[in-house]
Amino acid sequence: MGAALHSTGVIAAAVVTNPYAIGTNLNVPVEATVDNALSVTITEMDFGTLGVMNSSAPGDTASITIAPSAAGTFTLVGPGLGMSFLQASIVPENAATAGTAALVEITGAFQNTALYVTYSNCVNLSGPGAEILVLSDIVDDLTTPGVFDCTTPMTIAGTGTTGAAGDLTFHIGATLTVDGTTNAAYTSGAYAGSVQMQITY
Amino acid sequence: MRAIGLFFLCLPFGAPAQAQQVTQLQLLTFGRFALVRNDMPYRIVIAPHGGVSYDSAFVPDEAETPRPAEYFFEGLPANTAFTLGVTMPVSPDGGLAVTPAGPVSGPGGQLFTLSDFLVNNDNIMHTNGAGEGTIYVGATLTTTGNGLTYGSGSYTGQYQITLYY
Repeated sequence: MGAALHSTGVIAAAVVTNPYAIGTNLNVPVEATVDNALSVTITEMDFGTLGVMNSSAPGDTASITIAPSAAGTFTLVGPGLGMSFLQASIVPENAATAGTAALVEITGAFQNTALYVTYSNCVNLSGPGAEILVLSDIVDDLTTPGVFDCTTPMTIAGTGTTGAAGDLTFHIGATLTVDGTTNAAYTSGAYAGSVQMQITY
Repeated sequence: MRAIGLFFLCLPFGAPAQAQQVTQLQLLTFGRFALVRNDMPYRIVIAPHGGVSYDSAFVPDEAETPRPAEYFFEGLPANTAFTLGVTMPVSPDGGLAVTPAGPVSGPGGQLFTLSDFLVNNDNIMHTNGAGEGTIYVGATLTTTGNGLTYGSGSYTGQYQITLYY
């Protein structure tokens, strides 16, 4: 630092040298925020009321599939002729009705960010009797749909992208098939099963 | 004949000490992110002028992005270059030291390591004619890599800045 004032030949000047440490040990904050949390709400999949006839005859099987959509449209395969003819059959109580695909609503995720969905550990539907309804073909309606046949582990996850609010909603459909263990109608009552879902960034 | 008057103006002379002052304009923040695995050390690197790179385990929240720190210095010698020493102590003949004061900690006991500070890309701060200078501080945040998950929440730590002249 220096300054000079000229006055009749007199020069006044100053130089200050002052080795000095400022801000010594000035502690400065740093921050990071980890947010591994997602909020997930699931509305369960519901096939409604079904008439189900079992059959142990080779090749005689029947299944019902719910599409992964809000409409939950049914697809019936091999409904046969039902109990009157002892053939495998699965039919909805009212042919005009549809089922309810599972609804997954994710909130609180990062906005505009990819989420990966995988399924595992299918548990067949069991009820009041010994029969089970075999759960298979888990499918969702993500942008890149996730597909799980309930036997082979998924190698490619379903993928969707959150919106500007960090939300993502999708549906899950599945297939129920008779177990082929008897030649009798399924025991009436409620049947329940499950599949495990994992959602990650 | 004219008389020539000669006037002397006497002024007190002094060199008043200027107060050195540091103002934080921007906190060093690594933003908000999800950490999807920790099987090895993963890093976020913030460059002094804002470039950010993530290892694959980090999923950034674009709503809260990382930013380098920004500090404004006043009252320093004009037109002077201060060189960064990345570890203390630095030479007292003119330098800037930035060093972590400890790990970055948060909920759950898992820590991040703070390292590799970089100031103004070239580790030099130049003051202007008014004795003012600005530094932008980037750094690297690293996970433990011990396989344990990081709890959600805010993690904080500190580092130290020392300016010698």
